[in-house]
Amino acid sequence: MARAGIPLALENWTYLPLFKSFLEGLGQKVIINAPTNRALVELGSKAIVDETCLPCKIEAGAALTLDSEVDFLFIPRLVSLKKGVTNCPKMIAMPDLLRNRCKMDIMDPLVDIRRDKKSLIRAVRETGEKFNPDGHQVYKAWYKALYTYHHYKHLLRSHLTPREANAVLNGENLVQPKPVKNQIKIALVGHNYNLNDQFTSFDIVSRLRKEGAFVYTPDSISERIINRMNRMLEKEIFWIHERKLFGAAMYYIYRERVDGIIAITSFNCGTSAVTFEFINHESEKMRVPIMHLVVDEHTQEAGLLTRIEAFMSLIKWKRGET
Amino acid sequence: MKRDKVTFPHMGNIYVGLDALFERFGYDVIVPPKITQDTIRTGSKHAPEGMCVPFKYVLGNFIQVMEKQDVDYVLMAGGIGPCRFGFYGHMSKLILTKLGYTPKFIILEPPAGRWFNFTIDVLKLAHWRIKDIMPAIHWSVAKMELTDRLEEELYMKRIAYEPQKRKAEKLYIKYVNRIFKADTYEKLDEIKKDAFEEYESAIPIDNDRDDIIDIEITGEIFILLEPFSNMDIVRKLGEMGVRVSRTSSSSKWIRDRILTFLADKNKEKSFERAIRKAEPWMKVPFGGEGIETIGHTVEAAEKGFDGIIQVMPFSCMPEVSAKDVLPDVAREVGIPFYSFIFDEHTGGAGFQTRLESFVERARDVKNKNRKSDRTVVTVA
Repeated sequence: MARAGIPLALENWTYLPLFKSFLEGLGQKVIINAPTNRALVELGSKAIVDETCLPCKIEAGAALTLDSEVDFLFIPRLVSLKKGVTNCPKMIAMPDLLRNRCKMDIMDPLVDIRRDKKSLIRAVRETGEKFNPDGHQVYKAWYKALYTYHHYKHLLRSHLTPREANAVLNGENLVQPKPVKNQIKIALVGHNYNLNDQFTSFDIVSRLRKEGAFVYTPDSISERIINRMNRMLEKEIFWIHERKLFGAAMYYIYRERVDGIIAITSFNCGTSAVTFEFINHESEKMRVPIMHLVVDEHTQEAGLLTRIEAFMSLIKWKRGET
Repeated sequence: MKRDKVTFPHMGNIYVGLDALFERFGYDVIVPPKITQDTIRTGSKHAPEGMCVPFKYVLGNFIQVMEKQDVDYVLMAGGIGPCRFGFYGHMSKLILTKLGYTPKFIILEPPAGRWFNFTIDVLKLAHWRIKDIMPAIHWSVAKMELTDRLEEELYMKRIAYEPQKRKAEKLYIKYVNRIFKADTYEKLDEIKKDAFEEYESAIPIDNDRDDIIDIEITGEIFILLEPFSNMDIVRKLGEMGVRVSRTSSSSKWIRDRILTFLADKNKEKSFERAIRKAEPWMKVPFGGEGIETIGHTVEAAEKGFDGIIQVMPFSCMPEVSAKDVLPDVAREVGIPFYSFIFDEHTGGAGFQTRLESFVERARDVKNKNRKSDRTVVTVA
């Protein structure tokens, strides 16, 4: 039984249950790194080019910490998961960047639906064949993993964070948050790998919940709504994560009528510079307050908290509560 | 009859070709003012902060034109990602609308499976002059190619031999202006003959000089082609005694990326070759010119260049990823490498210092290699 390492960063905030359950179904032991801390980020920033963004550095750090504990690293290369939609260039290049730095093998099955419709199922088969020659068993493991993944997505849609949803999948009992009448509604627009990483965003979701706000994240929106909302634009956004952000922001502005938007992005994130321009435009039109937070490895907790508190009191003042 | 006014952003020599193209379609072409400090100041004032510098130049160009006169059409290229270039047109449209300018945008998306839309766009752009389209495209590409040949074969190679009086630059400007005004193929031939003769007599290439080295520039296309945005790296290198060449040009870019049907299908394109060369380090193209930069670095070492420089705008996603592996690649293939990042705040003095030290280093490496060659010969 080989030990597979999955770094808890970037895509894995979305697909961790899928990959984990698939590899476990194939009889592998999955090892996930501990939550991000300062040491891990420093390790990552030393290893990888300094101009890249914080989540990429975290991915590099996580992969390097796992390097000594596992037999291989599992970092799929998700180029495109839908026709006409692609991924961020840095994420596409990531397995190659890490390959030069890690001692262990990196398994990077290529998924590129835009060029080849069958690439997803081929990636599944090729990954499976390495552990289990029986194709039937591989497909069984894959569909079981898909089942887990859909359960996970269902949990995310009921406003749980990925961390809480993973806890539920492991058998814990959690109360699903529900908006109370007249509660302040805040839309937290940002990539899920930034929002949920405790190092990057200082656990912003639970902090906002403590402030008495009901938090909406892009994770809790279904694919169908995202696609529908994206049709508002003359040209649909072609990055998968940005589609999610834009679709979620539009849904919360126009349908959910949130009181405010907090937009979080990491410094030097190229794709969100485009999306936030479009989101800004719409929020200006609908007079929804929006606050931009830019995080990097030097962001300090106090500065972030002050800004969040100021934003919350602005919203309370706007609602006439103070 | 009132003629439609059309404008487009600057990128290197692309204006020569586009001007010729729209002239044939019966437009009033407005060539935007040359990119200066003013352009970038205007652009970065209105563009989102985190956007890459080429967009700020493009937006600045548009605003500069529209401040002075009304424009009916704006031409931009589109894209399907993952590079941000695909959104330049739509974002500048949004920002210009906010500022109160409402020209019609013609954004040419690559015809990835949507040939119908693409054809309609092109026909609209050509005022439905179907017969004129192909001749006009050939004519504009011919003009652009000649300009690029002059720049690459004459200007960039010969600054090193005449750095004091800036003769090469003056000649180049003179001939580009002549190409810009030319209206027949015969005149282009004449200009070509004149240019080669005049350069040969004015600044002859002296192959015996040891101190002249060859350096190739690669990287992101806009910064590579637009002299203002790369702090005129070609001239600065030339003044240090460097024969410069670059991996891409406006005409090559147009041919490979936009007019794909013009290219010879059996011949391997330069960017396909670069992708093949980059295979050991990067398996999959990741947008923009990222993977090509890696391939061109390998090729530069094979061709025997004395150094390679990567230029890119700050926060360019593909080039940042390429930059991560490039030092390893350069070490492995044995070529001095340096990477320059440009944005609206780049200062001249720091750039000059780093460039000088890189050139010295490249010259050093070349001399060392030559010495070691000589010893091998004597021993043998």
